[in-house]
Amino acid sequence: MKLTQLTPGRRALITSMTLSQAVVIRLEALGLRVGEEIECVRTAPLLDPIEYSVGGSLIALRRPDAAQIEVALITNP
Amino acid sequence: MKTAAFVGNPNAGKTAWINALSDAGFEVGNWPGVTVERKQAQVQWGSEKLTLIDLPGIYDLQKTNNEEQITQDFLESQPVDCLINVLDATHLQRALRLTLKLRMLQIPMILIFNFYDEVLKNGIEIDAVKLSRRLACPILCVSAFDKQAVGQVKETILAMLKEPFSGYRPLLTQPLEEAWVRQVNTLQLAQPFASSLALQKQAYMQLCEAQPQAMHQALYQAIDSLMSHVRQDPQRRLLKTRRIDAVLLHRIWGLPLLLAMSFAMLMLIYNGSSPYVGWLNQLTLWMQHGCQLLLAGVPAWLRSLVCDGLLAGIGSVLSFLPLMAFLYFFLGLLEESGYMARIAFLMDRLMRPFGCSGKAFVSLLLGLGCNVPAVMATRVIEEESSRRRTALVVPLISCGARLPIYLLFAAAFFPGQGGVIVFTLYGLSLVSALVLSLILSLPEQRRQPWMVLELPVYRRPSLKVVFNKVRQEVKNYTRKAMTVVMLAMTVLWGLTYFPSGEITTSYAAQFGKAASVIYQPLGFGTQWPLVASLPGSIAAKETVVGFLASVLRDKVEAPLDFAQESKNLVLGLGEAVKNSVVHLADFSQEGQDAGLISEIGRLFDDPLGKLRAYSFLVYCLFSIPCIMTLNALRQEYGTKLMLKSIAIMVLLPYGMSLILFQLGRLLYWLSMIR
Repeated sequence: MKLTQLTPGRRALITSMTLSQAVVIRLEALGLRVGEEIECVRTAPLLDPIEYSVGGSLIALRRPDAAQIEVALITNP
Repeated sequence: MKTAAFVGNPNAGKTAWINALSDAGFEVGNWPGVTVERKQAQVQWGSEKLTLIDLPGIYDLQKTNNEEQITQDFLESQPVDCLINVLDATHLQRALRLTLKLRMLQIPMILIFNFYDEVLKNGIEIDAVKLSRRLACPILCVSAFDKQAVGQVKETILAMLKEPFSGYRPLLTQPLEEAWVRQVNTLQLAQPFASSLALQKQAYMQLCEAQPQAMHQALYQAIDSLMSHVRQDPQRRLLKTRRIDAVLLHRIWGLPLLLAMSFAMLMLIYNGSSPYVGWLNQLTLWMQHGCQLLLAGVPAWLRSLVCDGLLAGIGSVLSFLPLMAFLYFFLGLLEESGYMARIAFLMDRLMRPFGCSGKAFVSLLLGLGCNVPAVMATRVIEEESSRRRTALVVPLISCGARLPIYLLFAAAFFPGQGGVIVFTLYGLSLVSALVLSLILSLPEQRRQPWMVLELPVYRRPSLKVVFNKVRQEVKNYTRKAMTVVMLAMTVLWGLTYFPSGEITTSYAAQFGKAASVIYQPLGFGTQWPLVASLPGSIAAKETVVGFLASVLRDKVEAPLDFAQESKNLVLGLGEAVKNSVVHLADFSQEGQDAGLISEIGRLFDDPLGKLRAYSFLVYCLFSIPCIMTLNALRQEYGTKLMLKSIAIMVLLPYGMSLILFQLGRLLYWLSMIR
């Protein structure tokens, strides 16, 4: 599923990222990379951007960017 | 002299450390232009003279953004004797990534594990001895502002500079490390006279290019293996921050809270500072009187230059220092606490229809203080086109230097409604900025640019860092008043004094009267002093106030009782301190120069007077950016963008004031006919 489909409070594993090289480099430096666990924290008041907790950091992404990241839901909490 | 450079992730506390190490007595100066974010301080520790360099916060050494560009260009071009890598010890996993890359620059390095008090509080266990051995760097576990720790860091740096350095081995997997050694040996044969450190660095770079995938993987393996010396629950660090964010970033309350906080902040800034502004005006008058007495014997023109030109002009500009100090104090609090990034998060979606991002909004917010740092702050915006667009929009944001003009005219024409007038001007400034951004973004393709925003953990703002920031800004403002403004004031005084010694027949009056034809349709062209005050505003916006003060106010005569006035001045200071606390939430107080206000009030006494005054304020709000802002625009984005900005800021104020005044006059006539 897409990262944007992750609802607040749910966790998932990042499986792939189809973003441009510059974005991927920045995301990896911040701790967001394939194989990491990611949690959706909240959406901004106007539903965009979305805040995630990953690799011990809080990172906000815009919806179109987050839609380019594929994740696999972790079912048991 | 040796050089030590501070590097680390953003928010790791580098600046606090460099401030603690360089002491208050040493100059921590802003460098102009491209390097404004690279600060340096000179220190003398024992017999060793050192330059400490504060480099912008970075996540990586990839040159993917401006901060990394600055840092890397500096490290490559300048000889650095020692690197001081400041790490957020509560978040080592991320910080170590940069550390591993920095090691490969082959510069002796010290690691400062900062925020160690939080490490203990959060129950994180770090085996610093083992980490230090594996990384081959000394590690200091400290928290800033710990006096003992400061001495410890000093000693470690000094010891490091004396020790011989033979380079760091990369932390790689067995086969890769062997490949690296082979590469070093090959290079050594080819360049027998090159330094071994340079070869080690070169070998690593070549390896990265040859096997990017494997090296990337090895990097994360190395981090994972280093992290085995750290026991930490990663969620616990974020616990407090997430609890605060649950309120401040709430779906419904987040935006109203932001609005309420901004309003409260503006109240505190204006009301807290205005009694001091009043007192400084009193001080200026007192100094003018004193000079009048002291200079009784000198020629009249010289007395006029000192008293009516320089003292009046610079005094009225410097009297707004308290306002600047308050403004920067609160901006510093926002930045230090971590809320600034939240503002970008909350505002991003709202800004997007205007072709802006949340980060652009933060730039504009900084512009309320001064446009120059706001232009610099546009660097954090990811995409080139939006970066340039925001830089063009920033000068429309009303900076602190324009505020004195509003306050003066509001007091003269809208007594008791100063808050409303200032508020409408700020509103106009923001709306125009957004509309301009929208217009500029129209020709561009409508693809949405990417944005990655880190929300740092909340930290109690360090007052020391905030006050340091305030001190720097106050110093800059004063320096500006003493140099650019003083020069402008001398020239302007000359124009108002010569050829005849009478203002009404002076060069300035002649110019003002000649140019007033152009400004007639805007409403304020009837008064030459206002027209003549405009060219000076290019030097610095405050000059408008200084010019009006020196032209309009009655020529200062020595008072009857100077001793009594001196006594009042001293008593007045106590009163000002009391008022700044008592009247914090009260908008009615006026702390300004009553003489000047009544003179300004007399400029327009027809029924349209208020409209004319407001039209002048609008013109001042949007007129050509000051020389410092223009310089920042040129250095960051080139001459073409600067010229574009000038063109906008020539047409916009004229158009706005014209529409405003003509529309207002039309409405007035219509109401008369009825």
